[in-house]
Amino acid sequence: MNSKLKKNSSIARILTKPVFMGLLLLLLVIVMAAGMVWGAVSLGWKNILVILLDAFPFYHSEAAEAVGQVYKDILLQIRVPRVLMAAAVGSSLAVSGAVFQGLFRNPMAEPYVIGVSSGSALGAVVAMLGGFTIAGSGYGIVPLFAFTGGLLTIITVYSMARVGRAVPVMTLLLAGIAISSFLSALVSLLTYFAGEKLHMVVFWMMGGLGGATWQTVKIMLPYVLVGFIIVMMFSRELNAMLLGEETASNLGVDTEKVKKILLVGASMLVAAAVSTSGIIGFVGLVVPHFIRLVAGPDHRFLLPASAILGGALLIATDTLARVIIAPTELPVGIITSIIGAPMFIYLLKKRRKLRYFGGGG
Amino acid sequence: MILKRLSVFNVLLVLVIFSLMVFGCESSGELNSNEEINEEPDAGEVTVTDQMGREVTFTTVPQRIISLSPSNTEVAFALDLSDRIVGVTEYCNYPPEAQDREIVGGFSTPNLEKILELEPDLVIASTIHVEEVPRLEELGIPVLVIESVTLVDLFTSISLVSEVTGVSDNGEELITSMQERIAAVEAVVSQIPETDKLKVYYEVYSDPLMSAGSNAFVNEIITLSGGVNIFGEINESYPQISAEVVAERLPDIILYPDYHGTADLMEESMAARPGWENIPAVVNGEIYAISDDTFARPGPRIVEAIEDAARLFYPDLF
Amino acid sequence: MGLEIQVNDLKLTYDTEPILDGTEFKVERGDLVALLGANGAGKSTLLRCISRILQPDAGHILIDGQELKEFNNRETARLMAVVPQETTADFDFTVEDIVMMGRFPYLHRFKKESDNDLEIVRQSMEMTGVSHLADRSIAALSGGEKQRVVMARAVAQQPRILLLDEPTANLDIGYQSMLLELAARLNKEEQVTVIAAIHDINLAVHHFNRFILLAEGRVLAAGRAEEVITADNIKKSYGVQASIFRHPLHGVLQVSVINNRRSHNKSGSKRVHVIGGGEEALPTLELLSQKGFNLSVGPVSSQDSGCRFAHFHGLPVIIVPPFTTMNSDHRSEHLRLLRQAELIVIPPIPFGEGNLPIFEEVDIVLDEGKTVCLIDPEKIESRDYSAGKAKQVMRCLIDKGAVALKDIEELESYLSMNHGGGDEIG
Repeated sequence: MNSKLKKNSSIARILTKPVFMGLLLLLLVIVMAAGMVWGAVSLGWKNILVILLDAFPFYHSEAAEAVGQVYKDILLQIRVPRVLMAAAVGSSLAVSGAVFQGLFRNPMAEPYVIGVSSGSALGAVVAMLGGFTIAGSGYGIVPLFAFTGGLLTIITVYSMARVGRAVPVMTLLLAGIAISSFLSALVSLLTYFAGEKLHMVVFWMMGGLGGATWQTVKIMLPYVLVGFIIVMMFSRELNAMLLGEETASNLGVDTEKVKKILLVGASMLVAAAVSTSGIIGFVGLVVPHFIRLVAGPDHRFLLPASAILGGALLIATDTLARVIIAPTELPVGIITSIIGAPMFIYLLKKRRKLRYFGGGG
Repeated sequence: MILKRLSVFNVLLVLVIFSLMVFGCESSGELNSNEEINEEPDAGEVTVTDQMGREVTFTTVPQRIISLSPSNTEVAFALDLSDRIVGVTEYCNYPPEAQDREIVGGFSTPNLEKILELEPDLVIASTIHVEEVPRLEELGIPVLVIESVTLVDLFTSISLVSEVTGVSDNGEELITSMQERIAAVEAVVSQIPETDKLKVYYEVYSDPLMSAGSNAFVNEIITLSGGVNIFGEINESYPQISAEVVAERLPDIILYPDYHGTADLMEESMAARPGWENIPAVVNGEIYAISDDTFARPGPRIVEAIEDAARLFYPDLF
Repeated sequence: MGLEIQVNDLKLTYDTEPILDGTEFKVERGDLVALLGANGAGKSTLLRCISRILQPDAGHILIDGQELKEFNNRETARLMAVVPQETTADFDFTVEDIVMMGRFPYLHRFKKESDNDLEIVRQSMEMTGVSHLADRSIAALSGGEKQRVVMARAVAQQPRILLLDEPTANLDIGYQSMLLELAARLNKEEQVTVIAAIHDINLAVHHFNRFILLAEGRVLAAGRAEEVITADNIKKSYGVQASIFRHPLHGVLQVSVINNRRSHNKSGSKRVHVIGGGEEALPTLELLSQKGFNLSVGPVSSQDSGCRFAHFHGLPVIIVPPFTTMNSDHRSEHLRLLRQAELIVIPPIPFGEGNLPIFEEVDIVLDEGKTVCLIDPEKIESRDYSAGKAKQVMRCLIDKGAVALKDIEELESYLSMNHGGGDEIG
């Protein structure tokens, strides 16, 4: 099948899809490399290469012996899981953002729109303040509670919005907003009484990848992968649903089933992201828009491309967060917002130009 | 088209799974030698229970120490561990030599990479560092958690640290000297009848209005220097309080930490607060800025704080 | 091969309002049916029941004898395609993407589109004339182009039933025609059963051969145009008085709503007599009627538009059989009407040997003092089929005092200046 040249009224679509995808992958690789090279401690890229190669079970490098164990630990135990976590979280946010935008046929939608983030935040805060963190494997409890909180929220929102067998998309959105506000208020209330744990709570909410360990990566990954697979399997249906639920139904899509499945998949992604890394904004909103601007709304391309760009973006911003005032770190959520907002405004302007350019009739 | 999408996805999937397998192998091999808790302490080994309830064992005397909070830094330096201290936080400004050490992060955000790089064999943390403690353990770094709410806690902290670092003598010496000085002050202020003790209001923050409760160390200082914290009955560290209650309780002295040298402004603004005109402290102009470092840090300098406060409250007696 | 649709006693209530109240009809395979009815009669609801968007509260829909309920979404999509009234296109899909979505019911989840699918899409786009738009964004198209694309998508679905829900509501007459022709073509070439809800009856009669008229959720009439489109049915379903007639050019049944039926017998209004004729007289008749004058017309032949106008409004009129001259009865009747009027208007109708004698009566009443208006006597040559006699007569009349007006506008100003009109309406 020869690659179709996507000629649209937009000048930006000179790229073919495979070329664009290739560029994105390249970006991801570069950014991952940068994320591993840069940090509070300078490791030197040669050392990194050596350590990484040595880490492969079938290869043993003598040069690796010379590198101090400390550096190995820093790279393999701290940086690599962190970069992987950033990739996982970034792609989860971007993909779920794209799905919600398609599901609600609303470009303003983003991963937190149906309250999953507030629910996760509530779970996390309860875990932090409840003192559960002290006993046992402390760091595992917060993500667990957060994840549970997120899932319970989506179940509640869905049940609230359901009318018979159908879930009207408008109602879902409104129910999500309502529940989100309510839960946010609860979170604020608890935060108020946080006392000395205030720091912890506030920083958690601002979003950060500092807690990335191999453990958390391993726990998170299945959810992320399953979430991806689920939503990407229904890309065609999502395309059809963009035309309206009635039209999609007339084309043979079982809209209620698809809605449910997509909600589950996307919520899983958001819950996994928020529970491990707090609330990181803008990635889920901006990345799908950007991809759509360049390559169109076809979800079969949009979802994987968003995943890659989202991952790359978060790795980049996280690296920046780590490096800019080292050794202190900025919460990554702040950087994504600072970068995200102007980017979004730029996209808005471009979009309107697009409309004007292609409009008529 | 889908073929391309699938293949891209597949590649990604394979990459991820593969790298997981590869890197995953590494971490599982790691065993934390410190988590093995020996039933019988061997000679030369020290096992303590820190203030987070953790049992920590040290097989050798720590030579490379990192402190994650300013108060712990002061304690460490006071115990004469200066040459063994390799890393401190941004806010560790006392003693001055502390500022020469490597900085490993902020107050609640220590940078793990930096810590690792310094190859410490002891990290002194506080209960704020709940998330970091297990991670450090996982990476094979011994952690001692210190937390002081009362004076007794502080002495426990000092002896813990001194025991672990093999300077128990220094520890005892320090504690004794502190106790003596405090006792001296106590001797004087215990003579003062309860009803004559000055009522103290400590304003941590102006907007929103925050004071110190019984869980804040500053409460100890006020009490030991013969004052009465008007919010001493609140069982929190830094409760938000209402302006009315302050006015109602008529404190004789108002103390506040001098963050940015805004002394004059503070006095004026406090006097201007509605309902505060009749507070004795305001009427008599007994509003004082104190150094946050000495007052709020549970470290060896609290003795100075107590002495200063006592002098402030009862100038005739000191 | 199209499918047969049987609808039995369908009932659907929305918010306590019954929308469908026992709808029942049968559509044969390969029928080309127009669904007519007033707003709220239930056309859209009916279609959406057939396309399974809505579930009726009671009743059955049978496709070739099988209950519609038993099909699943995918199967239904292979059987039926829907062209809705409007397509909102907020997202930037290309036309080809959109048409390809018509293949959705045939695609397998993990397989990409086959060459066959691509071929079908190509053909569908060609059939609907949107091939040249294949790479354009649907958001950038005009309404008519969009509907064609939607039609292409429907064709790509290879349906055996095509449902159109007021697809032409927002299109101009060009696109309206083109879209319905496409549907008719599909019906003819592939025998697809077509049901279209159309609100413009006159448009529907041009393209469809079977009609179902809905009123208050029930079928009021079903069958051929003549059976369904009657003044009575129109009154019952739309609540208006309409005149049904055959279009003079193509003989197709047409509906025209009668509104503002003016009375032409008002006391206090002046009586104007218009020398009748064909279409050329109509603007004059309309103007005078609007101005509120009581009219009389004559002489006309029974085929003339003037005659129809007179009949329609119930005016006194002289009818002369075609291709004959007036006989003495006609002439005396004509004279009588002329005398009853206060004003006589001669519109720019053609004159030949046949109707030249009219002038004799006009001449008489002119002498009697009646006001006679001649419209556009200068251009008499172009409509003079009496070898110049008409021109002469007209000149005589003008010399005698008949008013020469250049055109309708001048007539209008003349009337407002001199006669003040009757009760002007509108």
